[in-house]
Amino acid sequence: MNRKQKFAVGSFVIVAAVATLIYTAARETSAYFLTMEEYAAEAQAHEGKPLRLAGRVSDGSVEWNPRTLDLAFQIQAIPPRPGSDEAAEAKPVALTEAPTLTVKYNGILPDMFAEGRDVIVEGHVTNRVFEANTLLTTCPSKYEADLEQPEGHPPAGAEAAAGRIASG
Amino acid sequence: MSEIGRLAIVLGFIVAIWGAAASLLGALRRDKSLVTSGTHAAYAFSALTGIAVLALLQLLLARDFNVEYVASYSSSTLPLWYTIAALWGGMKGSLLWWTFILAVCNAVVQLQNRRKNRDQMPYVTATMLVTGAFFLSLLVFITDPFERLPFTPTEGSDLNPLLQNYWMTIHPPSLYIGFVSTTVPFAFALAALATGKLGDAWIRTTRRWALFSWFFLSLGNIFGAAWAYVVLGWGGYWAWDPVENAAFMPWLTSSAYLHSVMIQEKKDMLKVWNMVLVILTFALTIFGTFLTRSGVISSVHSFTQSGLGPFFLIFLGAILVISLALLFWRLPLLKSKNELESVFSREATFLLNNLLFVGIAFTVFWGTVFPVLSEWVRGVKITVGPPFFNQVNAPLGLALMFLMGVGPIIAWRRASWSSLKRAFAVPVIIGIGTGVIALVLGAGNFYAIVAFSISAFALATVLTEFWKGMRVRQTMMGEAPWVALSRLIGKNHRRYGGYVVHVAMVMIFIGIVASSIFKIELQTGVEVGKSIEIGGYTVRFDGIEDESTPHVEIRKAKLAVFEDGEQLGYVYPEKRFYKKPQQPTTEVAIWSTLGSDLYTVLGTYDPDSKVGVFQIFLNPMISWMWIGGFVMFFGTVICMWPSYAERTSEATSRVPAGSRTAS
Repeated sequence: MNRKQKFAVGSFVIVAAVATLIYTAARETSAYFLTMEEYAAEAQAHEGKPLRLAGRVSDGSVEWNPRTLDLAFQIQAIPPRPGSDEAAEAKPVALTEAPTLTVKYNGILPDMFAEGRDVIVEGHVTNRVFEANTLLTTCPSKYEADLEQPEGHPPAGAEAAAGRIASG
Repeated sequence: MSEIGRLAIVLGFIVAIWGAAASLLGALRRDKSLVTSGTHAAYAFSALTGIAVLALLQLLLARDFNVEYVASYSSSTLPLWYTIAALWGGMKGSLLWWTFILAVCNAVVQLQNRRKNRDQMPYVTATMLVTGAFFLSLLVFITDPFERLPFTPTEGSDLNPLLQNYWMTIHPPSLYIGFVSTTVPFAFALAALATGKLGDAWIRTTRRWALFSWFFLSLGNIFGAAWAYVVLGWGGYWAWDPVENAAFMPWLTSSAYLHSVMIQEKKDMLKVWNMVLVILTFALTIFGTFLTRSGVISSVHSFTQSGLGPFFLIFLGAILVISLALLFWRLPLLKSKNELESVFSREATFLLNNLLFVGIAFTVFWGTVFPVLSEWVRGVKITVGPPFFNQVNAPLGLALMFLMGVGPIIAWRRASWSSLKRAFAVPVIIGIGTGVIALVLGAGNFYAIVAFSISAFALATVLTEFWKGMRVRQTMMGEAPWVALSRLIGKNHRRYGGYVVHVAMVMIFIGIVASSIFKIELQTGVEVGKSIEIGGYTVRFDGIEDESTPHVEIRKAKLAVFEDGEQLGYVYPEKRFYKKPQQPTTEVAIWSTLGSDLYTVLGTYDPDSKVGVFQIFLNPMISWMWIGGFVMFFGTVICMWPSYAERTSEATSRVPAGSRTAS
């Protein structure tokens, strides 16, 4: 094997290693990203699987306990923006018929969280309840909306958090 | 004023098109007057975009809410500093700001090359003006920043409170300067390909520009991380958000280029690869601009479609097709006479380092576009989150750090076993020793131990280089240690400046590793007067103070910080309720030391039960990231400093030019 071939083989090994890393990591950490409509269409298939779900917080559904930091709310499909192509195509659906899903979360409320806001939750569904470990809210304004605000639990690793309430 | 601004961008667009066409035609027909006209157009373009920026600034300062942009991104109570920052706070303004920086870079390039690179300059001018014309065309035809409303709102809807932060006023300009200045090396690369003058000239001319753009990309990324850290309130600084990735990718390819270009200078190798990196870096900056403005990629961004996406994609496609076609056409001229001799050589280390940089860039790219790709290919959107990026990039980052230790002291061409032993014995022992100490001190995490070990190794090799160089000067010249060190750096500032940047990278790396692996987090409700314990700290909740200004209402928690029973001081995390976009924001408070950051967030406060809910993070060694940022700043300045030889050659080259005009 001459030098050129050696380097070709070496470079190939590195490229293959990077590709393998990407492949395995993608397989282990990827999650379906669905809108509420897509989720509702085949809810059973997504039971227990990692999921990212986009929806709108239903009016009057938010229950928040500031002592325990337990949050529960319903999400529903985000209606198409008025004037968009989808809005013209969409069939009118009575609000009561729109499928909803209960989301449970524990943590400090993100600043932008409110009823009627669009959110993205990450977690999985167990018995028709979405257990979210991340709650992302979207800013209502225009261009700045790209400054999403990740709140809640950071990714794995920090779960072994220590700390307790001491009296006095 | 809006008419003046509007006129300026329309004229700027026309002038840019003319300048690009005149430069190209002039170069092809060898018509000097056309080329000169192109140069003049470049200056006019700079002046016109400058006028447009001033016009928008004036409208903002005059608080003319009849202008849609002013009404959307400022208000009558917005402080002056943030009113200026509103120039780049909105999409339209940011595009104008982008064009303006490009125009300034272009003018500087024209001035620098008045008497140099005359064959290449028409192509450089054309490339930069076409890019400028593209950005201005968006403003002229699609989103007019000077658009007036049919009515005048009494009040503006204000700048997003998240952007009303110190870091946010300097982060976007830095990043834009970094992004935009990559156009200069790209333009010279295209000019080199077009003219066939593929020697060292274009690399020497753009060396400092490449470093300059890398410098600002680095600053932009660090400022952005600092902004996320103090503003977003989730205890971290980097979330692998597409917007962050957009700024990180060109930094990676630019870093790769800064290394591989040394191989071209010294060994006349990797010429094609360097071209590819320059083209890739520029394409990634355009891709990044596309990402942050199109709403195509990020889930959260899908609410912010601006309709600019297709235009960016077409421009990006055109850039790649034209530049790769030129590259392919010139491939025969780019053949290298030399080739790699041994795997154990500095050349090979640099090659490996490049593969890793590009590998990381590809990983980030892949993770960012994965949702879109999966939707195209399989019809479902699949996303990957931070764990994906961390899982792939952690081993690649470690390997890169290891190479950073190897690269500076391994021999060129071919390193013998005995030379390897001599050079690496001490650093390897230091590295392993550090790993053992970390293990003994209780760092029970495999990644952390390996990372500390490799960091110590890399640091040791760099410091050995300084030490050896200094000793040589001390014995040869009889200089005092500090004199020897400063002269050593002064004589070879590119090399030693680079080493200083390496030291900075070790600091940043350690900060990242320690803060992500050993982070502690807790969320809890606590009554006034009670305490929370975290790590070695105790935090006592001393009460709530409310403040109100016309702009914002502030609710402030007073937290006393104790360590080992001794009071260190107070921190005041806040909740703010902005009045104009009715929006609450979180203001974190941080007790920062070299060892760790105590990062406190006020969640809610209930006046009846006197219970405040807090989220508290203990982030070990995170300060080293910011310190590393400062060190990187100095290191890069040392690199960019003109050397003695350059200063004198500039001076002498001016003399004959001046005497010619005199005679």
